[in-house]
Amino acid sequence: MPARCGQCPIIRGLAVVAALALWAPGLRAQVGLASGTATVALTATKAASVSLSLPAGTSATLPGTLVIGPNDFAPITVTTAWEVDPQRTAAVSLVAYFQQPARALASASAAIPASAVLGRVPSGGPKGFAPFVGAPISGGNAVAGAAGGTLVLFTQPIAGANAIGGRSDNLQMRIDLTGAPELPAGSYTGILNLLVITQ
Amino acid sequence: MPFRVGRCVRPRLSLLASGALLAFGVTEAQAQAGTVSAARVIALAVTKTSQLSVTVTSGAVQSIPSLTDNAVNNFPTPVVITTSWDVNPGQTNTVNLMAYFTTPAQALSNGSTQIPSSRVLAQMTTGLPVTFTAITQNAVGGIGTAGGSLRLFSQNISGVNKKASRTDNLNLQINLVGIPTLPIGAYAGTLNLRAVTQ
Repeated sequence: MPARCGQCPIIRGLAVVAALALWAPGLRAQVGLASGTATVALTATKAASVSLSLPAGTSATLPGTLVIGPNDFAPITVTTAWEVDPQRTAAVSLVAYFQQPARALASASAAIPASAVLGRVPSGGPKGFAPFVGAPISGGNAVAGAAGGTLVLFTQPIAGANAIGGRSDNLQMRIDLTGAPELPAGSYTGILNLLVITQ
Repeated sequence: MPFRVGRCVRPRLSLLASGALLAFGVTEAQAQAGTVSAARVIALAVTKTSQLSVTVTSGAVQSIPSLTDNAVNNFPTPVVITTSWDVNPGQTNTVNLMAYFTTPAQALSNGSTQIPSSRVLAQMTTGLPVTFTAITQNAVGGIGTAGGSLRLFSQNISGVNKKASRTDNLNLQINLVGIPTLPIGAYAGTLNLRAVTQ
């Protein structure tokens, strides 16, 4: 009578070995294997910004003639825009100043001091003409102005509602030679600087 | 019960076994012939652990110093990523590199305002997103988050490259076109990178 191989202990033993080999877990766990996590730190900063523009862009010329007494220039529109963090910014100020107050305007032989130059902004701080004789103002680490040659044209308080905003103001300049010594005839030129500063 | 060889194997083998016994021709030996113990087995199981790793070679810190509203803002330098693997090609079809944000709605945040992952785009010219693509896909193989993931590459595995690595450049950008103006502030987030086999 022929033997039935399925009953043979050797064959059964081999079958057990094969079964154990298939059972070995480490060789079947590669699908779904995941690495450790590498990371990339992302930071993006939206910085505060302020800007200032004049009708012609970044500069303007105010021509005029001088006589004894007040000499008024035509008003010029100054447009200011800002986008700031209301948690860190209490106000935005527009500052005008002459770098050398003693020589706000000068010719080859004479000068007009900043004290004789006045400005007004009906919608701003100096609603009437005021001389450029103030001190610089500071905000954080920034300083705007020159000692004895500065005039703050407006100070705009900032809150959440106007953290992004802007305004347009008319600046009118005057040179008042009332009581001043007579100037030599000539051409007098000067530069008025405008800066926006946050406080 | 003793095991008898002759009952298990073919007749030819039985004859050979008988011949062998006769050759020895010893009376005492004949009494022991054909007795075999029960089979015992030793199971051998060894595991070679698969290896899979992701390393950021450079660019692990990405910064945009000045975000611009309503514009596409590029991170200035790529993230250089090296992916290494040592896997069984019989059980691994692909190695995939995933990028994902843990909280897609807050990919970057300044504490009060969030930039979602749909506004963070990635490009890997040597991978799958060859153009800038929003990180809004779903997880792959359990790695990633729903709506906050992006598969960067899927590397086919065979015997040739079962142990290999590759290095890819990942470019990132933040697209703010068409969304409300962001408040001033610093926005921070973490992009996770993981590889997974399939």
